[in-house]
Amino acid sequence: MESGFVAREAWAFEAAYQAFKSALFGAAVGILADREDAEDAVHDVLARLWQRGHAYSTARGSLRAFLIACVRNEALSRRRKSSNRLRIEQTIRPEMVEPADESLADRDRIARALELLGEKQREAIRLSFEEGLPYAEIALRLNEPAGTIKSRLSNAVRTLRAHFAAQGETL
Amino acid sequence: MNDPRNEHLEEAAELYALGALPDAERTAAEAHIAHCGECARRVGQAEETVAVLVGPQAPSAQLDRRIHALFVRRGGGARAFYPLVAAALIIALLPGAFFWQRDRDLRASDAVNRQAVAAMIGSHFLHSQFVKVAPDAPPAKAIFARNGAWVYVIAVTDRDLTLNAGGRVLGKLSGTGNERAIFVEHPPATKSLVLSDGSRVLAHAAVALP
Ligand SMILES: [Zn+2]
Repeated sequence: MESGFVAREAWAFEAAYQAFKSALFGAAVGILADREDAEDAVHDVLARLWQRGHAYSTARGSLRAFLIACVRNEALSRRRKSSNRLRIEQTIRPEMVEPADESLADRDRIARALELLGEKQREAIRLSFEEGLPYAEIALRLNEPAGTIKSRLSNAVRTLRAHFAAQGETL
Repeated sequence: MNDPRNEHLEEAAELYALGALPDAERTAAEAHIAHCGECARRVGQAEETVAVLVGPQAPSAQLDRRIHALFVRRGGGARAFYPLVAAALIIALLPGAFFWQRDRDLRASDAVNRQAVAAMIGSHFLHSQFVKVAPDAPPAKAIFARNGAWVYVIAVTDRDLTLNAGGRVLGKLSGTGNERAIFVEHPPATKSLVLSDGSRVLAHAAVALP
């Protein structure tokens, strides 16, 4: 499937969607809250990657992780656009998020991994992962230099990776 | 900042995976990853870590249908190339003469070319250069559907040429200026196409028309 995806073959795109759809939709709905918006985001990402080409190569590793990253980015940019619009319209978006259907064990595992991070690292990751802020904005919020935040986010991801690898997570 | 293409991403790899880079830095990072295996791997590892933090959730059957519709071509048969890919290939295949012409508006007499481009967009195709038999043979190229549905021949010349295959005349090339072309649907099965000026064979091209 990975090589078919690299060669931009239609069957590989559909197979990738079928294999990873819960993770892709979960990534989008975690950021966008609205299920319809989230489905649009997944749809548009796959359409764009297929039509305009993509940067995935086998050197990059997991196709699943690549697609999740693409969907997260699409969702983040949609959220930035809609929050701008909302600010202009001065309306409040109804809260439509539903709890993720991941198991308790999963959530516990992620929570424990996040506990490994120092408090400052955890806050930076939270602002990035949950609020989707670029590092310069995180720096403004936390009143720290941008370079410091860059290092902190980078170190946090690498700490998590080392932890998940030690736990034998499928990485 | 130096050319970002030459600098490894370093910490930006993890920020890229988190989606924490502003657009300009993101674009620069993508340009770098495209040709640096080392950074592609580091980004891939960071993306895998971020992916672990994502909680899965099942989408609706409606999304399944929309995705399926994206990748299934109406009317059957696999779509060989997306139009943009096909267009890039066509431009790479066409002789130089096509380029100066392309820069002007395609003329009405270019119906042959337009028909060929439409056919190429819809199917797998192969190409073959004509080999000169006569010293005065013009440069020419054959592009043909892998399933044998059509053949398109273009020659850079202002002379009248005929396309033959298997002892049969498929037709005369037409066009204006320095370009002649012919588009033939359902050509006969053959391994060789022949260009002649009516009396002499000028060039032939090896093809595989089933
Ligand atoms: Zn690099």
